[in-house]
Amino acid sequence: MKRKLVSVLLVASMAASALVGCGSSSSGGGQTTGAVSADGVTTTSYGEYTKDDPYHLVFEYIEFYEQDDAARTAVQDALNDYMIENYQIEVEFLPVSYADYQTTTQLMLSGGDELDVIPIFYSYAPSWVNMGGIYDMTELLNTDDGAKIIEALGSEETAKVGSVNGVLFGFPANKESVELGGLCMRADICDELGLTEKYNLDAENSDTYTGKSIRWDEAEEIFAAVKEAYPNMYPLYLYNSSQYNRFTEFDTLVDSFGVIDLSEDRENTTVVNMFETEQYKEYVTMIADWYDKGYIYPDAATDTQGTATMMKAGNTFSYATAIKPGFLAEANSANGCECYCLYINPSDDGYLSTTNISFFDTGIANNSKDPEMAFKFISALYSDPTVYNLWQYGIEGVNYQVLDDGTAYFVDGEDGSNYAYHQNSGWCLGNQFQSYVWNDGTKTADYWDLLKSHNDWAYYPATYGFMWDSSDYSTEVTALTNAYETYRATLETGSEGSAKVQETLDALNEALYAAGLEDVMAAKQEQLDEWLATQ
Amino acid sequence: MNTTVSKLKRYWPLYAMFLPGGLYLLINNYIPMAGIIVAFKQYNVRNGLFGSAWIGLKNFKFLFATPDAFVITRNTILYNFVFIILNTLFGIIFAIFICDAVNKKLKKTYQSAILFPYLMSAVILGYIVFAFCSQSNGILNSTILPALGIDPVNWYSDPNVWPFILIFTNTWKGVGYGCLIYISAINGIDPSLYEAASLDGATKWQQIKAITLPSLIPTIITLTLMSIGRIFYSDFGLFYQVPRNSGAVYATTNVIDTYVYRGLMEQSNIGMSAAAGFYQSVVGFALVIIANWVVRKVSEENALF
Repeated sequence: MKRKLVSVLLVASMAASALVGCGSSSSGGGQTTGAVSADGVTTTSYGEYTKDDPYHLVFEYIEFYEQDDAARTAVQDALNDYMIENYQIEVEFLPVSYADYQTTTQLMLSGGDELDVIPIFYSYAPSWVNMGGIYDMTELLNTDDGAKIIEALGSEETAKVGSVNGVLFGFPANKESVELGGLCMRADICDELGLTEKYNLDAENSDTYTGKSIRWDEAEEIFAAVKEAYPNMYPLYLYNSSQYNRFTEFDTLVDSFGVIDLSEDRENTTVVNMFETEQYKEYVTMIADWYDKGYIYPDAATDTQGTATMMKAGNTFSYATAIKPGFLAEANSANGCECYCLYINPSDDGYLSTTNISFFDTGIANNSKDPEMAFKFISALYSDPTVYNLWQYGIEGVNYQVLDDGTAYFVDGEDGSNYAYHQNSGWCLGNQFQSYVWNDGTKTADYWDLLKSHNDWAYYPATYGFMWDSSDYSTEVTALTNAYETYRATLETGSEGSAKVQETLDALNEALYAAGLEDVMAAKQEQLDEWLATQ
Repeated sequence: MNTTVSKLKRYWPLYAMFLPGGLYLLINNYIPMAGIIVAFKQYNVRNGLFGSAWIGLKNFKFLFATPDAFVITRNTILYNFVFIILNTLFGIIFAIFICDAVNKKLKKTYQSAILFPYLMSAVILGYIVFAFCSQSNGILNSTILPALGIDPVNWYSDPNVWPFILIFTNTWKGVGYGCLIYISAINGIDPSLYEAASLDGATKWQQIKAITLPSLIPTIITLTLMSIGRIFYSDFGLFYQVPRNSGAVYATTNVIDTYVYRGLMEQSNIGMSAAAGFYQSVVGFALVIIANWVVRKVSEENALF
């Protein structure tokens, strides 16, 4: 018995010594002044770096497409030739796949791995901040490097959108963020049924928003016409994923448990239960009515195949989607057929919520040995086109070439199917508006301006910039998520028919209140009021 | 002490064979056990595993204090209970059938065929079930039910049909594995017992009852005890992929693992995940001890320890 006890103790002590290393951290010194560079020497409050002794920085990013390892290493070397000379930073790429992103990042943050600059998905931010994994960049924003980031993002308000409880955890990427969408439809059927003339679908640049869109109840006649002409076709494809933001106007405040209703008043700051609003009820009733009439794909509630698969299968007419300039070119190649798009929105002006802007943010891990150098690198991602083009497109002349009109494309002999290095993830991190426009045959050099002007259609609600911290309510949010998931797909794909909508809504609300919705909404309102008072 | 040394000397090849597995267990299963304290902590990277603040049982709240707690616990236990019984029962029946197959070549084919579903990924399993139950093109709704004059059923939104579908699917998938173990156990039974029995005029059924089943009891007990230890865990693939994550049928398909996955995916709360794992393994451990204690009371030589 005693021997057993000894062995248990031995194991316990080994475990303790194995884990104790995780406890150490880089507790940032109180003074943060930012990195200062002069004559090839950069000084921070943590150390001094020269060309011969640069700061080694680990840059984690999500690799959405497969890259050639050798090509990536070559790009990293080329980037470092430039970075060491100009920034005294030696960058180490740490690509992760999208599927592994959350678990890998979380393990690295909690395990104390060497890590500097990371992408932060907005809904993970509160818990990562609360577990002490993310560096607060508030003070660094007041430096020259910070000013460059603010300039790239347009305003200090947008630069600070990635904040929770006063902790600035990351900067959003420059992209088309406004909530505007509509239908993507099969062109051949639109032509045949006369929809093309009626909605002027074949107009040039029909994917560029002009400030006018139709309402969803008007769209019903499109589905009716398709159903009549092609009884075996699915006029509208919906799938098992929330798409209420296409059909309604809410600021969901991260998790949709307690939202701001923007349909009447864009200055609204009252947290309400989304599932009791008229807006949500009208939306699910309309969808259920369409389901009854056979407009919606019958397996929508459990389907996860995605729009491209269904369009290619040939028995789907349309799907609801976000639309932006350049959308049609992407849709045509993804869907394998010619498509038209039509802007259909709850109102003519789109809006920007914290969620839209702050999708993926660029931030600094607390593991960083020198957050000021990490910040310097982030600033470069927003203000140094050389750095950004290298990371995104590779080496000029090797991985891409600059065409006469100022756009970029693969070098001769390479294309989208056989390239060695092409990240194409500018929408995710940093300021893609400073990089070359990638010429896939449809975009011109002024494409970034088009995207910027697309965002000009957006309205900024009063809650823009607020981020709810749910970490004290993990239990409630887990239960609420389960309650919502139980009824979500049924309601939002109309699968039970319009006769049962009210019944299902009542059941959902009952389940939500039983799961603690009232407490969560009260806490949200309180945090929002506090935040509003500081604005 | 002397006996230990002499045993070591005598059996050292056996100990050497145990070493890699033992090391693996130690590194993979025992050392990380210290980490379970995170279930009682508000984990903070900067303070580390041992420095984070104690918060008592707060992390366990979501497993007990929500309306879902009862449903997920009930589903997990009941499904596993039925699975244990059915997999044992069908495993033995099929094992006896296959062992008595006259054609020895076909015997191997049967054996492989019955094991095949066990090796299949849950995603594929989900699609096989979907081929039957799909609303638009499913075999059940488009061919079988109309032929019988029954109205189509909306399979993925009716919670009442899922206990049947899941139990059927799991039995179909899992029976091969248990069967394989029972086949090897049956093959290990001394053939002279059967010869003697048939000389005495015992029928096939009598032979099964008097020889095969009693010889299988140690195997049954070992397998059942191991399953009981995992009664609070559930086959995540089965419960997540096969109902296609359809919310409308959560009432009968949500188990602890899927609930934890859905709830904590978004929140990434290490403490709460650890709490769920802690709860599952502690209850499983207790159940194994109790079950073994019961076995020991009934027939001591069959107890695992």
